[in-house]
Amino acid sequence: MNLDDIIELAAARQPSALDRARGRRAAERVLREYAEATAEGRNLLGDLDVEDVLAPHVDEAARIRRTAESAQAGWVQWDAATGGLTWSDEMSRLFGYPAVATHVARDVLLNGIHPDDRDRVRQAVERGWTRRAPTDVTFRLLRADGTVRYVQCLVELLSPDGRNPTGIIATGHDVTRRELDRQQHTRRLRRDRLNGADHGHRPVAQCPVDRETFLRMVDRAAGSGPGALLVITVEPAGSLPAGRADQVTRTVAGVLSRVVPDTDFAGMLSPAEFGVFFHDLETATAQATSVHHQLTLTTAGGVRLRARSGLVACTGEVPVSGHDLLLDAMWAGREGHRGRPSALSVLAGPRSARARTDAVRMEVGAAIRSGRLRLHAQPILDLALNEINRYEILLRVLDEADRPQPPATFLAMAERGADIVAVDRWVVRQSLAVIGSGPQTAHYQINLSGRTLSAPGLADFVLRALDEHEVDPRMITFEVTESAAIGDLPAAVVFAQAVRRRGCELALDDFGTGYSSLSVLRRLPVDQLKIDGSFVTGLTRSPFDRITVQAVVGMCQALGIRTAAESAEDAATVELLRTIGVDFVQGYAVARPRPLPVPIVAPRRDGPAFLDRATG
Amino acid sequence: MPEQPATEAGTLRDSALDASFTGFFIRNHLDVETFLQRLEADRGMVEDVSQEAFIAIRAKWQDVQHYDDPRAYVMGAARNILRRHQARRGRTPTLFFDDLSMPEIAAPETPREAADRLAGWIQLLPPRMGEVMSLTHDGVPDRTIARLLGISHNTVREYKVEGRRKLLQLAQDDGFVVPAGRRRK
Repeated sequence: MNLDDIIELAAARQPSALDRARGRRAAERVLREYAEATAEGRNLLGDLDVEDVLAPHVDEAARIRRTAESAQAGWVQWDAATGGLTWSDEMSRLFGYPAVATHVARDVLLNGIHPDDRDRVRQAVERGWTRRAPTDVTFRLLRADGTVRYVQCLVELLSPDGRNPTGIIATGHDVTRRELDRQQHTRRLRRDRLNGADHGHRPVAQCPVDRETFLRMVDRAAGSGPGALLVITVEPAGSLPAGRADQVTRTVAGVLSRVVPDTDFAGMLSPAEFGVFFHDLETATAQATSVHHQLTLTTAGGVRLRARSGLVACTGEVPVSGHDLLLDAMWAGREGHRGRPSALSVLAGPRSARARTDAVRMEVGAAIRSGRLRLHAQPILDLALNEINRYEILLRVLDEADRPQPPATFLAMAERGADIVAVDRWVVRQSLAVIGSGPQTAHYQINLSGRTLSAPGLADFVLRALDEHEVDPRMITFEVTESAAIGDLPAAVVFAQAVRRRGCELALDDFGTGYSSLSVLRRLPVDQLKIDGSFVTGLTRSPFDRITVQAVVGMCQALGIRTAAESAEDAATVELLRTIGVDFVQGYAVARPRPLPVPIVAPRRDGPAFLDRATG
Repeated sequence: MPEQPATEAGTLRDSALDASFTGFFIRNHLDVETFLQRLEADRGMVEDVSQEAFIAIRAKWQDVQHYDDPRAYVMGAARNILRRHQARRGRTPTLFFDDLSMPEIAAPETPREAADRLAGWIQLLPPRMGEVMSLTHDGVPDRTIARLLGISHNTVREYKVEGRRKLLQLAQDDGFVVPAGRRRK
């Protein structure tokens, strides 16, 4: 079947008896409505032409002009014989001139058209004349008063006898409103399509949600009514097969998404810590017990799980932040644990702010003093040279079994108070000691919290430590981690200037999330910008992430800032980042973090063994 | 006579007009609706517009019945009313070609299905080109189309060529390529 078959079939339509009956009823309805309308004296004709437009009229151009005018459209006509241009009052008004003259100069017309659209309009007129092709053209008018209007014109050839062309006529009207709607629609479509493409790999309702989202949700829930927060720390009861370390995380996430009801929500706080928020205070303890019990019955990679859980209730009467609730639930879990392999302990309400602060301070202090903090180094690939010549120094906290854990919770806890300054100072001192004892052939990047950055005396402390350990400042980059807002931006700028004067570099971390914003970028003299991993993990699948990263890289190149991408998980992502023009990349695709040895006093020129492997 | 108030004569004349209008309506209202359907996918709006157009025609029927082509005149009036309704609805821009994920389209079996399929394609043409193609399919001559739409005769002929080319493309995109072999002409 083709187009002509379908046209033929469509034309074969004969009104059925049903159609005829329906037609008669419809005719009666029309007559009834007509009678009612005339009785009410309504005007039925509207803008209906009162003459027979089909009667043969004098002249084609006159006919077109008349129709245009009755439709409130403007027209402009070019007569080939005289070369004269005439226009209607309406067209004159569209161009921003009072409707006084019927003749118009060619330059007035051309100059009234937006410079960017002039060529298109000229082409439309030429096509109309030489190829007899009618063209609908939408263009902008730049009026004398500076306003811009969108106009749509039909440019057509006049040829009253159907053979010999006599001129050109353009009829049109203001479509500004419609054009803006159309542009908006096109933008929306693109936006939706980009976001829609994201949904393929990033489900809208994720369970469990990530740490930040979870804390935001707890904030909102705890602020609006009663509820209870359960925090579970999970560990395998035995050793997992090699390469199955993330099995626990995946298993627990799976269990939680199954057992947590839709009305409540769960989040992953770190690979070994999970949170669940229950809205119903009455049943929360029973539900928490059930979740806890479920987990202890679960195996991951053939190994049973141990769970240590703390539940804290909030009545919604006393305001408490999600983060404080989290600290309390974790504290309850630890306190209630006391040597038992698995336990759930319940706290009837949030602790006092004072008790919380003191506990955090003690804990952070204890971690530093008892040597539970460790440094790891994650290799960074320089994409221009295609070699690993930098390392980011990462903090790890040893858990009860002396296994290093990512410090998300520990740092978040420390960052709440001033304790983070102590942690950061420890990291700087320790890192520089290790670096100073090595060959100093690689560049190191050290994290500093936004809070530490504005702490008094930091610049002096850092510069002294550099001298003390004889570290080449040009081989050090300080990464500003903006998980908390920089308290005192001017003080941070002073620090940045001081260390950069020495030759250190400054990087802005986690760009694109949290407080890491364009305004911080404007104020701080930053040498490197690290694009947050959340934009990198889905890069090869998500057009949205790709466009964002491309734009950030373009912006940084123009600003003279180098870019780094975190969390690159596969070779394809690394290649894409290279194509986009990113300078540095790190992530599992490059290498996993490895422990940095702890010798504070070590023979110089005798670098940590792993460095030789990594750079070689 | 014209000075006389509404009398028996007037009522008689109105009844005669009603009768001839009813005949005209029954003969042509389906054509007008089909014509509108090719310009607007919303059936409800098509019915409203058709009704509104015929009411206006009834108001002028005394004159319109003597026009050269009353049916084409109704189509022209209906088209104006339709464009006004569409403007009022706000321009929810028609789907772009790449928005459409086309399911497998079955070959039409009845004239009605064929007309719907054709209407679907004409709706995708630029508005004015769609008007030209729709009137053409109703057998309206070029000169009349030019007058109804207020465009030049040349434009009508060019649009018919271009419109046919686009319709062939649309039909082909939907998988209607091979002639059925049952055309007798």
